[in-house]
Amino acid sequence: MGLPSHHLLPKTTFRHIGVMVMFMSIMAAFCTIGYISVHDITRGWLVDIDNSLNIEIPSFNGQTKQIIPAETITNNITSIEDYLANDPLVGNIKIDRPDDIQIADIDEFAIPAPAFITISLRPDRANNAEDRLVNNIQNIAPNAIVKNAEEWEKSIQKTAYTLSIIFGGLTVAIFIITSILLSAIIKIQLRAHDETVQIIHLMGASSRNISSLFKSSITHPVLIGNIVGLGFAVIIFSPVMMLLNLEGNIPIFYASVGIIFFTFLILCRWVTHWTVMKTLRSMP
Amino acid sequence: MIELSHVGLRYDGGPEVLSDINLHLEKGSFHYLTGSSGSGKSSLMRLLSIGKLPSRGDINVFDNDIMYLSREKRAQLRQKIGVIFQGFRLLPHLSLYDNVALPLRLIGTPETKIKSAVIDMAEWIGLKDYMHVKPPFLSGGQQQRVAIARAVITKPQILLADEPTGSLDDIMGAKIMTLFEELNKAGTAILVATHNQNMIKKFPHPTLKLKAGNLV
Repeated sequence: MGLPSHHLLPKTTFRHIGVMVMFMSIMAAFCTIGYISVHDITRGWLVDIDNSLNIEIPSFNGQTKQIIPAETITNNITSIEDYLANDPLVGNIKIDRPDDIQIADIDEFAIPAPAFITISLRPDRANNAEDRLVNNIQNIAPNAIVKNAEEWEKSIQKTAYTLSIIFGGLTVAIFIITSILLSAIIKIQLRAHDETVQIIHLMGASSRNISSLFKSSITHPVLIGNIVGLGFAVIIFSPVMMLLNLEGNIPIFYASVGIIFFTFLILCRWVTHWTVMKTLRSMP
Repeated sequence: MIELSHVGLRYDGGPEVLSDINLHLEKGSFHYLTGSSGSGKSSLMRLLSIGKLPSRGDINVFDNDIMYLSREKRAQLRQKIGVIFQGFRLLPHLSLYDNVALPLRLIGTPETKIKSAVIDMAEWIGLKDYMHVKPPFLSGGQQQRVAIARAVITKPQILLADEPTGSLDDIMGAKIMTLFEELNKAGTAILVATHNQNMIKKFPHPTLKLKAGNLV
């Protein structure tokens, strides 16, 4: 059908769709940034955590209910420190040792702070090297508690997974809300232009022709809304990504923006077609 | 050309507004359709223009039983039927040119052909100088002529006119009827729904009379 839309529907008919798509595309771009950030930051954390080992030298023995003497703690720290200094697996050692581990300073209700040793492990270590290190430390200081990254990794991965679902779900919700609003606008406009629809229907336009007319009418505002909204998102969010040290992910962001652009375009045209066909199904 | 057999029509499960209609409109024929208000004239026109499907009975249009056609096919048949609506029903935001060009655009005619066809049509209805004027700025008679031009620009095989002279004075009504006579002589079948008895006397043709939804 060679029926240019401007011949039948005034230009202002679908201007609201442009504003809606602009707003929704910014929101979708924001969710994409959230999704990318969560993944990138999580990946960074997991790499850091995977290469670290935490040793806690407690100041209180839970089984005997007795405070461990400061000398014992100091000896444990020194022994572990001496051992670690010669272990090729260890890259960096950070000891968090309270300065005031003195029995005299401890009142009967207080438990002195434990000492912590954080070790950076070499990333190129062998598979069983970490287990060997943990065993050796526990031999030197039997009451030392050695924690590797496994538990933290699980916790971080769970949090990242939850956040990913939230951001992904929000993006899907944005597309669904856009579809519902668009469908409502199309129905309203079909009613507002009922006379035009009836006339061209009697002249020989099928529901498919009328759907094409509406599709071509919404394409322009959807394109404009998309370009303005996503353009704004790129201008605003690109510097934000650089500030968050996520510049490596900017190409992924641009690709996502492209996907959002085409998704809105295809979705809007499909929803328009579906709504028109459904609304006009009673026409012969 | 168009044949109705035992056709009935009811709206939304209400009483029948048309009952057991049998009608045959042949090529090149000219009929009037008369009846009092509410007798079913406009409903019958809607059925004939495939703007509505009957509740019962068969309608055969150009050798096609419309009940068994796809929507696309019915739309193609509607393109062969010219309709002049009661109250003109021109699109107010379009110029005379665009209103008349509409049916040609609908069937995908190239713009160059549309231009020459619309100019010829505007000349025929005597409104060549009003090409870019929008309907609200035209008189009733002028709007009616535009509606006629829009209905016949695709050279339909049948023209259905619902009260085409209802809001016009006798002189303008006669001019419109003269246009219909010209079209009829060129081979277009015409059905004019009207209750203007003076016009029927002045331009005599067979009359179909509707009474309470029945052809009598």
